[in-house]
Amino acid sequence: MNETYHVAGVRERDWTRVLNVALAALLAGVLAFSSAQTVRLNEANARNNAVVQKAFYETCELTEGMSVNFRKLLVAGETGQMQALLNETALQTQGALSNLALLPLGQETVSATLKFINQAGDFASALSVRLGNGGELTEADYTTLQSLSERAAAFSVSMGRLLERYERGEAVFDAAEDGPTGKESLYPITGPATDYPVLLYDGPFSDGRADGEFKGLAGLVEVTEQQARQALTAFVGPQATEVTFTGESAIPVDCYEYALRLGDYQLSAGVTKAGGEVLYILSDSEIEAVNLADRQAVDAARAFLLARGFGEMEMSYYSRFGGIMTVNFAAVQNGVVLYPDLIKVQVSMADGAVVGLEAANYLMNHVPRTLEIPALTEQDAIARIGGALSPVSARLCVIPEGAGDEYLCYEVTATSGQDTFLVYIDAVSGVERKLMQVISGENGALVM
Amino acid sequence: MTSARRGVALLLALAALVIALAPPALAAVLEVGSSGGDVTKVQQKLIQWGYLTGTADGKYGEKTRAAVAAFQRKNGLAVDGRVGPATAAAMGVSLSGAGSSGGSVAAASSSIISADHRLLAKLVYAEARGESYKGQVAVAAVVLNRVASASFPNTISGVIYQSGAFSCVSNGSINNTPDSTAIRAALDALNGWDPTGGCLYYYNPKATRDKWIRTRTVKTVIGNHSFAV
Repeated sequence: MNETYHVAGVRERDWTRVLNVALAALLAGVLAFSSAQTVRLNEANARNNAVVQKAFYETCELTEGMSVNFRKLLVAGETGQMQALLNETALQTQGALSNLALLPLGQETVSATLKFINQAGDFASALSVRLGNGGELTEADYTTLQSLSERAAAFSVSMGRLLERYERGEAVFDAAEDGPTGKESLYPITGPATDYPVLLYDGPFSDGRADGEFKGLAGLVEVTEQQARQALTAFVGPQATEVTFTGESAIPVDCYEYALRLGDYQLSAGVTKAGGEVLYILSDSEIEAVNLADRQAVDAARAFLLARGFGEMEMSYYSRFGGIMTVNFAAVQNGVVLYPDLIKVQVSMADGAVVGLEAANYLMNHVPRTLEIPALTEQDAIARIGGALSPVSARLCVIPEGAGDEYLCYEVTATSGQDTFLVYIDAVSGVERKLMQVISGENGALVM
Repeated sequence: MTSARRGVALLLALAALVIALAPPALAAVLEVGSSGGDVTKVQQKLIQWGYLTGTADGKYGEKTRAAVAAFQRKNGLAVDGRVGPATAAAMGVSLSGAGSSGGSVAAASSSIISADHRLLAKLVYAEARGESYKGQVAVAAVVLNRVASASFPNTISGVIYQSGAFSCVSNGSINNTPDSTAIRAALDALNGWDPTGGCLYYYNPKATRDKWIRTRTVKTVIGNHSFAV
């Protein structure tokens, strides 16, 4: 008994010793591991802080540069010099925007500032283009420049102060995330938008664009849900089944929303309350099978639109994704292509069924146009394209620019080596308004 | 014996500590009792889609199990309340232990046409996986509407990586490989389809803790997301 107890005692002591050694080794390992993790974490933090600091400094520098350039523009006399300043300012605004977006401030905090800088950049680019086309600055432009210069200066000064506080170790960013009370410390970044000048220039980034008016729906009577459903069924075709009302939306016009089946395809669609026009159709079903040639799918799309009374339309591009062909059409008036009035049709390459439609641009813009009389002939327009291009053909079209502006242009198709370009020459003023390259790939032809 | 037992207990505690300190979850399957970063990711997804309420605490308890089971039922998966490779792929979550970067189910024919298209598809996959096709196009359209708006950055990457703009950027799920539906949805949005009609925000009303976003005007609701301007 005694001996057994003794042996057991020895065993227990050995166990304890082994365990202690193992524990000590494990503890050392854990400590080494966690301190290595801490070092890695600190490095990552430092890298991240450096990115934020760089963005902070660069925002200050760039907005200060903007303010200086705007001041110079007030006194610059020579067009070339003004253009150089305007182009530099446009670049500075782009840089300021991307840096500002890197700061951990949250969208609602910086949106007013982003808007101010965006519009300042748009204004600078627009003035530069105007000067390049032989135009001049007006009194109103100088007033805007003055105001922009003051605002940019005030902004960069306040950013500098904020930077100082940040460098002192104040938690300027944390405050921003705490909600309304914290935001006060971040003025001017959060400064109310009303404090910024109302820009006379209504550029492509203006708010007007978001709530664009649907000219094509003006004056149409509001239909009931039942009428809208009938309109959708008639539009999709007799094979449409299980047309189910799924709700209403206000996107960007008031719509009834539906789910429906077309043969094997499950589709979603929106129909406008005004006039019961189909705004969009999307295919929930994936389509992989390709039994049609590209040409046949394009013809099916064209036939679909013709049968639904869209009249003559011009195909501008098509692209294929799996078994779905997307074909883009523009309306035509007296032989003039109306590029703002776009409608996109998606065709199943498996069987030619139309499974998608996008008509927002069409419904927004399609009204009869009063077309100006071209001051240039087709030959005049062709003569104005760049010397490196060989013209192939030309035709009249209307192109959209900015917020709701339209220009009658000659679309000149031209080549340079293997590349094809589209040059848009204003048919009234002769100015080159746009230059696009046609990209042909295995999945279709696109313009960029 | 007592000291030996204490030693073993200590050893176990240390082993647990080592596991906790090691990069998230060694196990490829998450179930009740699991914890760590992967569980947090799963919980964030479940909260985002409205299957789970509360905060992602990284602990796989009974509530998480029930939410996972609901997700599996809704998405036609085997219902066992555990997150294995199939469920993880359906959620768009890559389990660290499984070592894959999400479901690489992109079909051969689904071609990505540009870097912008790729990034947009990744965002759609991370933010709207599990939503209807229309709901996925809608999320992509919101990004493009932001690009066009003066109050946001002017590029797709600028908008997506704007500080604090999308949770999938802060939690890393944007790095999963998009499936062909997400790729097609991104392309349709680039081609002009916009089931939100110009909306700049979306949120899951069941999951968001952001009070500010609730002040925006909701224009349409698609699946779990409210779309607002």
